[in-house]
Amino acid sequence: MSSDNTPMVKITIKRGDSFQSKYQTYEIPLQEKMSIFNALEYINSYLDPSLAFYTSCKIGKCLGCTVEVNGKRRLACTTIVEGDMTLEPDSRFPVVRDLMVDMSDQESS
Amino acid sequence: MDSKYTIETYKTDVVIVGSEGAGATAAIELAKHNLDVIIVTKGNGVGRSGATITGEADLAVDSNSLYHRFNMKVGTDPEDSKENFFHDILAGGKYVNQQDIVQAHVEDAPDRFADLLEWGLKPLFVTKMSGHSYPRGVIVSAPEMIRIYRKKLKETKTKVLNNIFIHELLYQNGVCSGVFGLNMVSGNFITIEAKAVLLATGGGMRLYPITTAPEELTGDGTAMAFRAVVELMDMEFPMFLPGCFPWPEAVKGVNTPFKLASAGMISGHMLNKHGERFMAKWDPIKMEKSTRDITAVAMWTEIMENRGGPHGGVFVSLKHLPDNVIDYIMEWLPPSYLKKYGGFDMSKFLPDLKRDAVESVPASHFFNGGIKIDIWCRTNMSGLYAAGEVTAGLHGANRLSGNAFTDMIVWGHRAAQAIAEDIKKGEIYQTPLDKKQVEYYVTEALAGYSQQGDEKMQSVRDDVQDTAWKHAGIVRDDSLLKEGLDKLQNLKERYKRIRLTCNEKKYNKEFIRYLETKNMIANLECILVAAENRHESRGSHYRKDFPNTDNIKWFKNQVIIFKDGEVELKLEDPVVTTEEPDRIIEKYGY
Ligand SMILES: Cc1cc2nc3c(=O)[nH]c(=O)nc-3n(C[C@H](O)[C@H](O)[C@H](O)COP(=O)(O)OP(=O)(O)OC[C@H]3O[C@@H](n4cnc5c(N)ncnc54)[C@H](O)[C@@H]3O)c2cc1C
Ligand code: FES
Repeated sequence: MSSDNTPMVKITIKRGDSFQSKYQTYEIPLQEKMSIFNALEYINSYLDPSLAFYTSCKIGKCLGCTVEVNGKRRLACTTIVEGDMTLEPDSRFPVVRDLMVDMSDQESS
Repeated sequence: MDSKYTIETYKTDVVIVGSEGAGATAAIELAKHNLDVIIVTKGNGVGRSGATITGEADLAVDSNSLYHRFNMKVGTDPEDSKENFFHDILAGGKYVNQQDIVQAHVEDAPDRFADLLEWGLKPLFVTKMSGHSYPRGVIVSAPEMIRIYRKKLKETKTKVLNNIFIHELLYQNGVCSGVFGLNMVSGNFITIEAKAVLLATGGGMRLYPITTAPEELTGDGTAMAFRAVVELMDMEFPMFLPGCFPWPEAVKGVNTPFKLASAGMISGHMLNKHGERFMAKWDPIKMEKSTRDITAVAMWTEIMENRGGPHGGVFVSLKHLPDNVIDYIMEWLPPSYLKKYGGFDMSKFLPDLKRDAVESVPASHFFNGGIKIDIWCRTNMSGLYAAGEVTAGLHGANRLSGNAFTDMIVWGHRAAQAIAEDIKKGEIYQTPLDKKQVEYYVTEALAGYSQQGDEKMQSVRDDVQDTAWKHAGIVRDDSLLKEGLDKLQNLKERYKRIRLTCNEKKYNKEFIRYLETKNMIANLECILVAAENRHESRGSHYRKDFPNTDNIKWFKNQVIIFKDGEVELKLEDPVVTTEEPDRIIEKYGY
């Protein structure tokens, strides 16, 4: 996938659940105009299949992919990766695992 | 995952698989009948999965009803009628629609639209969409529809279980007794016993690597029905939208290029890498504004014959227009999609249109085929019903714009009426779960943890998508399809050698995708087999080696049934109530 001159970017992700968590950093090739969703897909598909996160529409409509990017709430699918970043789960919801939260009790829209 | 597992068990009158347009509509209607209903969804809440929320969105209702019954005088045309709507649906579906289903559809559509209005939907405007001879496209906001469904489901106290992946039907002696699946959050298996099961699982667009549709639509409903020997139909007709970004990655599948060239708003030219305006070879009169079928075939031909761009698309160019005209592009009608698509700020992804073209590729957009139903959503398995995009029969070989939204509201409602009626009459009732079948499903699901082999799940999934794209895509011929079927055999073998590596219980994406991949393979098999057998071109099925529409031999539906590990095809005559095509061989696509 990545040739020698592809720029790399570091994605640090808060992993685990509300009881136990740690930060893990993945280094991935930075594609032009890739979204955080694309980055997570890349990590899950080719580096670490155990990474948990939610996606559906991938066009910013279902609002299911909300994560906290360097502390700010953002949609993973419409936010472009421009440099290193830290991702944490949406703090409004209970964490299932990693970036996957349970939105059952609260239907925000 | 290890050999220890837990099964969460539920019991209800009706279980609805799918929480969006079709599923939610059915649940709201069922609540009137005092039945216990559980909705299960792959989504993290209603509106967080499925195609409904992604709609743009037009909803088709005959213009006469809009004008007279709903008093919508602007943009409508009272000259229209239900009969005209009926006719257009057949013309769009190239006559292999089931006319009894189409009849019920055009009759019910205004009533279901009335329900939505009563529940608070505010239509924006009415417009004439492609394939319709009258203005029937009521533009509605999909997020608003979702808010209405959420509100109604709350009011009716419908139980919704989120993040549930239903994987198999439970049945005995041809009678459905419930569903089996995975609670993706807890990692436990789940069984739901029910008198009636309604599949409202949407399409299988994610079988293809480029799609406009959400990630979880992997054709689960058709696949589980297929495995349970439920009849499917018209599987050779997955529809592609001609004109989406192949690149950049973030907006892959977004349909702005279609709007720039073909949607009738901005007159972009489609060019191959030699600068040829290739539509001239296919439709010299309408060019880029040709039918979606022909446009998709034309684009695909250029791409597959290596005349596309570096990202796998053809080019859409505005450079035939003077710069100082392009300056006004945001004032053209309606320009909003150039600024915004879903949550994207499109200006970040469009090049300077005075200088560069955008690349454009057809993307998997809709499944015309699916589970065979009668006019009350009954399948050939007692106790099993289906509604919405997961079904076949209404759209025939291709659907009209806006008619998928109408499909889900009309047929979700009809399914609910039929289920309520059948339960009341005692035609269906709770039959016992077959414990052995549950055990078998558990063992099958967990096979990826114990079977011998070193295949990676992701590599099989990637290759399934690649095979679908190359062999079950838009332009087909005998050798492509046969090669596809060979590759399919190989993929089925490789699937049995997948070794899963992730042992997490909670939201284990590798495991979820492993189960989905099985469904994608089943859908691919159905598409390839049906496409290989249909020796003609019709609607969204185009064969280079049989380029005409043959109404002498192929005014037929292909029904698929899974028997002794093999796919069997049955040719059936479409149900005709009023209109028949001329029994001649015609040029494709007109
Ligand atoms: C980008 C886009 C734009 C569109 N725009 C329009 C438009 O403007 N007008 C129009 O008429 N049509 C449009 N369509 C088509 C239309 O949106 C769909 O056909 C329609 O919404 C389908 O509704 P549905 O309820 O049948 O299925 P969906 O809305 O797809 O819902 C399927 C449901 O089933 C659930 N599900 C699936 N598998 C499982 C499983 N195994 N276990 C549990 N749950 C499961 C999903 O989680 C989801 O809840 C568009 C489609 C797309 C992709
Ligand atoms: S995946 Fe739906 S908003 Fe991001």
